[in-house]
Amino acid sequence: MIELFEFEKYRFVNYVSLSREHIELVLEERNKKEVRKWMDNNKPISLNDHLKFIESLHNTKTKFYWLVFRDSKPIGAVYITDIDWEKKTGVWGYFLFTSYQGVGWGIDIQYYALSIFFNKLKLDCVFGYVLNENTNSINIQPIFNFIIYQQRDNHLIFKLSKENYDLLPSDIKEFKNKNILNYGKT
Amino acid sequence: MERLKLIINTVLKNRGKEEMSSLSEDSHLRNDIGFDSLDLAELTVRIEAEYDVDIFEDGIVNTVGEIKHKIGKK
Repeated sequence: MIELFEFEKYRFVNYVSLSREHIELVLEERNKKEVRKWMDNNKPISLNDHLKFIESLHNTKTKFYWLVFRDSKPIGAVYITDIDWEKKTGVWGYFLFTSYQGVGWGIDIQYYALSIFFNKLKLDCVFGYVLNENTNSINIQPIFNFIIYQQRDNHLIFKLSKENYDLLPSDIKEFKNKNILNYGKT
Repeated sequence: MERLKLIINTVLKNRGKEEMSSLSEDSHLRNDIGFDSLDLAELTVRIEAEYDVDIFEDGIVNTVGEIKHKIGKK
């Protein structure tokens, strides 16, 4: 159920189902300076640790990671961790591979990832941690109805409830027309 | 080109960024015009509405000339 999700041009493939080639690709991209500079753990990860980590994902129900493909090309990764199935909450994040950063596809990935969290995993609330310097990501959160939940020393915690998620248009084109074109005008 | 410039400047204006007085086909969307991801998402929506073309449909677009080329192919 959580192995694969498909949305138009996008496929979200769980890390536990990836080929060795794609497992190594994820690590290579994740370890690039431009990607890990936005991460809480911004140190490079060894292949051995990466493989152990992916192996550990087979036995957990509290975190899921997906490699995202667009038209069959791997372009980034999405994850949700710290899932509390009683409270129905989780902490999510994503990164785009460096070749695809800044082309607007992050909006698509975020839109579909939220659909997985709320419509497939049936969570009631999702949190996102964003470093203060990551203005690009901070600017994007309001169009998805995220609100600032907490301010910490070096990052913001954003929160999206199911109630606010349900206010988003259920069609991505309509979402873009409405939420992106009207951003900042209210 | 003028129509495209108008769309680009609309996006810049909406984001509170300085509008471009001149654009060339070599103008880079991120480095020269200063678009970030959200700006590019708005640009995509506006161009699709105007020309019925998704500029990122089949890959990355970096310059104004590349957008012009995609619009021209339609």
